[in-house]
Amino acid sequence: MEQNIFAEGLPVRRRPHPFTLLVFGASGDLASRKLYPAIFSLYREGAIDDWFLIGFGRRPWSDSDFRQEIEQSLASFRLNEDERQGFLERCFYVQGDIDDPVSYERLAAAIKADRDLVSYLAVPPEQYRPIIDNLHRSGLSRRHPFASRVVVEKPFGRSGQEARALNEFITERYEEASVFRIDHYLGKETVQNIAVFRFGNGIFEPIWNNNYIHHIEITVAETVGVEKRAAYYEQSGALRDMVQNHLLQLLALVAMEPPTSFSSDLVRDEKVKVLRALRPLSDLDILANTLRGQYKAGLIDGQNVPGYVEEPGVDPQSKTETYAALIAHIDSWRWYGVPFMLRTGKRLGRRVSEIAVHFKKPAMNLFPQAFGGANQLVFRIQPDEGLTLYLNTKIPGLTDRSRMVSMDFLYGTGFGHPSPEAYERLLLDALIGDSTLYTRRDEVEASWAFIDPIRQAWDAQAVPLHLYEAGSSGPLAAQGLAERIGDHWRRL
Amino acid sequence: MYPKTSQLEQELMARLKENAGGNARAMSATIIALSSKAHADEVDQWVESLMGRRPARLLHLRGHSPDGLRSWSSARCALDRNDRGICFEDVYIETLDDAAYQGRIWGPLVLRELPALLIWTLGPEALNSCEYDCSQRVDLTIIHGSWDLKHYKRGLPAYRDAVLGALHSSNPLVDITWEQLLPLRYAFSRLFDMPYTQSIEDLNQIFIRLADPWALHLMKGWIKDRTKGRSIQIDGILDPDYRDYSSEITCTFTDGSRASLMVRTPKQAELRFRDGKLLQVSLPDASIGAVLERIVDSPVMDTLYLRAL
Repeated sequence: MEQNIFAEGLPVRRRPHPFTLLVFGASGDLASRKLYPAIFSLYREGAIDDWFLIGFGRRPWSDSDFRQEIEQSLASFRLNEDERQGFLERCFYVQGDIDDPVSYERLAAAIKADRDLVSYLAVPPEQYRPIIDNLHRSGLSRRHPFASRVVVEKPFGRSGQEARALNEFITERYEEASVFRIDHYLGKETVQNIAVFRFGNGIFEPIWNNNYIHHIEITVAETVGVEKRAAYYEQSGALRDMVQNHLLQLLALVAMEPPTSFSSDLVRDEKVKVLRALRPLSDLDILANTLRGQYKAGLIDGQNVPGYVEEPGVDPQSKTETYAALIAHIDSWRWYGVPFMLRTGKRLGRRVSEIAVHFKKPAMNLFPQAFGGANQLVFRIQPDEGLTLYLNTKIPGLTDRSRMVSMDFLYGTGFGHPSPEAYERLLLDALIGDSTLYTRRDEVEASWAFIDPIRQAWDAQAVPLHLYEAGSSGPLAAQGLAERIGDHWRRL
Repeated sequence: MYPKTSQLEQELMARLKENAGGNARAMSATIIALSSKAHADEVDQWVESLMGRRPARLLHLRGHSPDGLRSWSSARCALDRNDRGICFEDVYIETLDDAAYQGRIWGPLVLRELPALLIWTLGPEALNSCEYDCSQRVDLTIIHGSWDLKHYKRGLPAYRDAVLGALHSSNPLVDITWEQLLPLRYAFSRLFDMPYTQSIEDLNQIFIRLADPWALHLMKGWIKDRTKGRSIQIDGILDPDYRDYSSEITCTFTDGSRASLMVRTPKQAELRFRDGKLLQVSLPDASIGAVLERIVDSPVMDTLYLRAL
């Protein structure tokens, strides 16, 4: 018998088997801002019950130092004494060097053999190889009959070639099914809702195609600058940092065909088909349909902020883009002729992540003086996760005018409780071994195949770098890009 | 003479404005709590446990009240775990006879576009006969089997038949007792998670010890349904010393080995696997508040309930 017949139909989230979560970069920013709070939330909700957390790092910490560090990261939770003790007594620290095989022997000795192992690489990408190689050499990458999984953060390579090489390297040491490439956008409630919305509502799927949709606009706008990530960002830029992963993943979800079931591989099969169907941009297309920008000094939330080149750690002559916009096309029966407008930027006037589906106008306009615009359906990813449908409605009174009104659904009020943090959901999935919300090797490689020519043209400075004021909506030239498809960007 | 629902609605709006700082608040459902005046406090306690969890309009309908016809409304808000205001709108209707139960009295007060959930405490036969035109006005009917059975004079088998009859003739139905068995069913299922799944083939006998007869009936029925086609002896005993959540299940396998689970606190179960390994597992919250919260979020019937009956 392979299925637990008693678990069938239980309305309870699956629990992971007993596991050890091994965190590399245990004293780092990502671990303390996201991982420790996420694992604590899972513990508090009773979603995990037999587990250990081991932090691995260079700092000469004791278990008690490590627990203090974790406790500080949980300041916002208002822990009671039972929770504090119950959680922290499962956390341990192993001091070591990621390049030193002896450190991994100590690590292997500290990890109990009778449980799954999930190794979370919360470290810069250049450290992936030595860690994964040493985990493999010390026998921690394959632990039959128990699972051994590895979670890696973006960026996954800096180009298609690097991503392929890294994939080769990892899959020589871990099975592909055990490699979890995290894109935290996929853990957000609204993003998961895209598939439910499309395939769970019979009224939308019939119009989800080029007969009814004029274009689709995907925006990920941030108000923050590069913060402490200047060294990374200088090498990355907005195209690698955001478009190659987050924006193309959103595009794939909104454009994919219905999978035959909602299983991990079938969903990812459909996503990768979309990514492979992205029309490659020629040199001419890149000039006409892509745009890059960089923020200069400006005002955000009443505060003067410096320009990108004035940020600490940034080359004053830097040509790195902090804003990227492009028009993509998918060569498929469903989407032929529908432009996908993508934009992302730092230091913009408002923090907005959304997908706006712009429908075509009615074939004949009966209200020429009063028409409010074409229908839009907006998936708001952050803030205020939810959905808005814009409809034309008659303005009340003795007039024939109409205007757009919005039908709003907010997750926060619709269900009366907030959505879990993306990392909480994604971490639980990795602990269980469900990779539906993680990106597969072929997805990563297909998205790089689309991005690489743009990156090369931009690196060669073949496309002008437009400056924009911090706190604005981005470069003015971006409007020209939208006008190419006869429309404009949604207001930030 | 009947209460004027339009006037109650206006009163409610005014009170909600006072108590919610002038802002219209989100609502997630209408809950119609229908009981005799004698049981009203008990039923009110059930719905009260939703306070601070989900915003809802509550219609408290009480028949056979010695005070005669009375109706009033109130609105109140409380902060939830995330410090957000969660509001309740309450409408109370009491009548000397059973007029308060009639759908045409309270129907106009149901929020139209949101789930309407009817808490039914008048026994399954009345539900079956649609006596008060209630079930047609709601999306889901909620009963509390073990509470019902205590007030039911014809015994468990007749009660079971009556619930089955109601299931076939009225709305989708949810039983709070069944929902409160979720932690026990969950803990039991954990005994057979990998690497113990294969042990299901070796099950010989299952013995259940519980405090409540209806819960025991449902638990046995559920295991029977899950193990259909296998010759497994399923026995149970009622232990009057047990508290509501206390329970114990022992499984004996063909080679004489055993696995067991013991629940002694509402939050945790102790599992002993077939190989002797012990595990403490956290249990899902099965308080009535948590059960109602789950029902409000997902107002659908569990088809396994019908099979467990």
